[in-house]
Amino acid sequence: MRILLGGVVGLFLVACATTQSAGPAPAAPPKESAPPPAPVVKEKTPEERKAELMAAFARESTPQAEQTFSVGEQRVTVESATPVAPKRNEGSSVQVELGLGASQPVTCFVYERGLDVGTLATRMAKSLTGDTSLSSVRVSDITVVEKSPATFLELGYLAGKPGAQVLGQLKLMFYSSDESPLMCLHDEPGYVQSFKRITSTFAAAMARALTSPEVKYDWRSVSVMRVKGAPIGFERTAWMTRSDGDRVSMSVTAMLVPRSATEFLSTDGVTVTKFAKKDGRVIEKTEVSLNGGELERKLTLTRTKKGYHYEGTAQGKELAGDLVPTDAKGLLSDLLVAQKAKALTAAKPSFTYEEYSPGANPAALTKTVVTRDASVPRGVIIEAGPMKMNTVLDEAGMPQRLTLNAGPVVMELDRVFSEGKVE
Amino acid sequence: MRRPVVAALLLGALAAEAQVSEEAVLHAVPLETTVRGEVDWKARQLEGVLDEPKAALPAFLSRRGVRVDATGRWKLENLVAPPPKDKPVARHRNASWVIDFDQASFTPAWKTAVDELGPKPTAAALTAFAGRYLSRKSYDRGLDLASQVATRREGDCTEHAVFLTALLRKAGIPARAMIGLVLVAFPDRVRSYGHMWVEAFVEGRWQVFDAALGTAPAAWLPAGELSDEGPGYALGLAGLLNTLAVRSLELR
Repeated sequence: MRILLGGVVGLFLVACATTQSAGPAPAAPPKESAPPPAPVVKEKTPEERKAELMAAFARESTPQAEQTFSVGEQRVTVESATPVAPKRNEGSSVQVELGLGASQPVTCFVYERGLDVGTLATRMAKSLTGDTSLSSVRVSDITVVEKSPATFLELGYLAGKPGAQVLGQLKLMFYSSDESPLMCLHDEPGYVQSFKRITSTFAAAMARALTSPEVKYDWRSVSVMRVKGAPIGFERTAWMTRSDGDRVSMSVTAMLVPRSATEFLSTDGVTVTKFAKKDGRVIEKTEVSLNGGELERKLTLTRTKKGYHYEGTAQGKELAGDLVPTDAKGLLSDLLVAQKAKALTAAKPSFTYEEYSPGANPAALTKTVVTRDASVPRGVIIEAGPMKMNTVLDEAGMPQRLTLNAGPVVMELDRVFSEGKVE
Repeated sequence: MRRPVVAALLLGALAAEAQVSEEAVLHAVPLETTVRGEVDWKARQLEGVLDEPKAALPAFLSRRGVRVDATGRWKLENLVAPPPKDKPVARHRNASWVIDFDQASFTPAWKTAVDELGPKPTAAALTAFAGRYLSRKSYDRGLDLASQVATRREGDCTEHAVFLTALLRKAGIPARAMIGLVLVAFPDRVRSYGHMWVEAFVEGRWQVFDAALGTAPAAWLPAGELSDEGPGYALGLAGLLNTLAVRSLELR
């Protein structure tokens, strides 16, 4: 999801906010597409069937010829075994089919407005109904394509009546980008790397074609969250300067946390913070988060004479109230926190600040302590209540790598892309 | 400093808990192993050895008075803990942000319970009702409030626990949601899971009621009570989950 709170927080940002931003549910659920190969043939021995299945799941295609086509006024050149003829769907997406050199084409939907990765992933998994049932879920990769995160998801499924079932594999790619949000899918076992190649090059081509040179970012970054090395989500952040000199930071997150072999907990979140040019203090902050594609929280914090006022909904309940920060100058923006963290020394090894973090508490400020960790170059420990995050900062004081311990779970967040300056 | 950190941390931690029913256990994700042990169900004992003798025992064992010897061996002599001696206080009776049986959206579920069980349902009857009422056993929710659970009728152990706690309090029975580990006996092994269940004050003592677990032989090892049931419950939950920082038990 991309929240663009136009008249509220920034000239460049376009209004939007809810799950509707992802556009209509994509067409082509697996059971409606042509049947995948790898049928279970009774005459063959189990070993032969297993070998056949393994071969089907391991196959790849060679790079295809390049095709040039138009999306709106832009000319785009990408690899495709077949000519590409984009068509506009009702709603707000353009549908493109790319020939992968397999039985089934790769189908992509390019949206006009942002997409919610967790929400779309949930919808796709839940579209497997009737005689089609999900058998496995795996986030295979989250990588950066043309400055934005691309999430690759594999859904294994069984289709057909018991005794005559076929094994299927739906591969999905979600591209979370301000310029060219898109989703691609391929419903056929195998071609995992080929799908990644063709969808990555398509997303990159679309991003280059649709990026407006008028939009300037002060700083932008992409970080990937992992548990035991397996990707589970990303955060992409962009900072911009408004025409009045105040700053806006926007953070988009999505997580697909595996809970069982066939279930995952999906979240989408957007936080937009406006902070003052003159002192770097928070002027306004809005956070929207979704759980399984449904609104979980939507809260806005605004500056008042005495402090801040928050208002919105959390878990279906209305919330509103006033908060008075300990620091009368106001809440620190990420920029100020980074500057303070960077300035920590042996003589002044820690500082405490408050932040409005609705995920921790939507009705109060959360006290956070940052302490220098002399055992690690540019290391700090960030503590919010019982939570402790071992962090490595970059030269500007922004977190480069975080390690979070939550009981038995250790989660890591690594920044994998950044450009611009934190200043 | 990093907003998603909070959500990420909690969601990751919740990924380690599980609704423990026979069916669910089959595909639940067990915790990693760093502590090995053996359960004697007849003697109601649990004993084991730490991988590293000087490693700290997890809180759910140390708070039960378990000690480690020089070789890293430890023994919990009474697997079924004696009932906590504390008495119910106001928060165990009242509605809260999480246990929100005062919300209108909770009423239909309560009416159904009364229709089925009568005006004065017992804790055991409400436990069975909660297990039935949550007809979709799923892992794709984080921690829904009781009123949300009453409407959605789905979830894992956390949803079962907050919903049952709400039903019990609505029925006038003091109750609290507990977090910890549960040991579940299967024919060939014992498995441990991060878990949430309910303690209700019945017949003058706190007793375990677990709508998610069903009737499988089990032992509950609490890390603590979800005492902060307000809008900031997530931090309290994170604190409790941190006390489970054992990569888990491997039991026979």
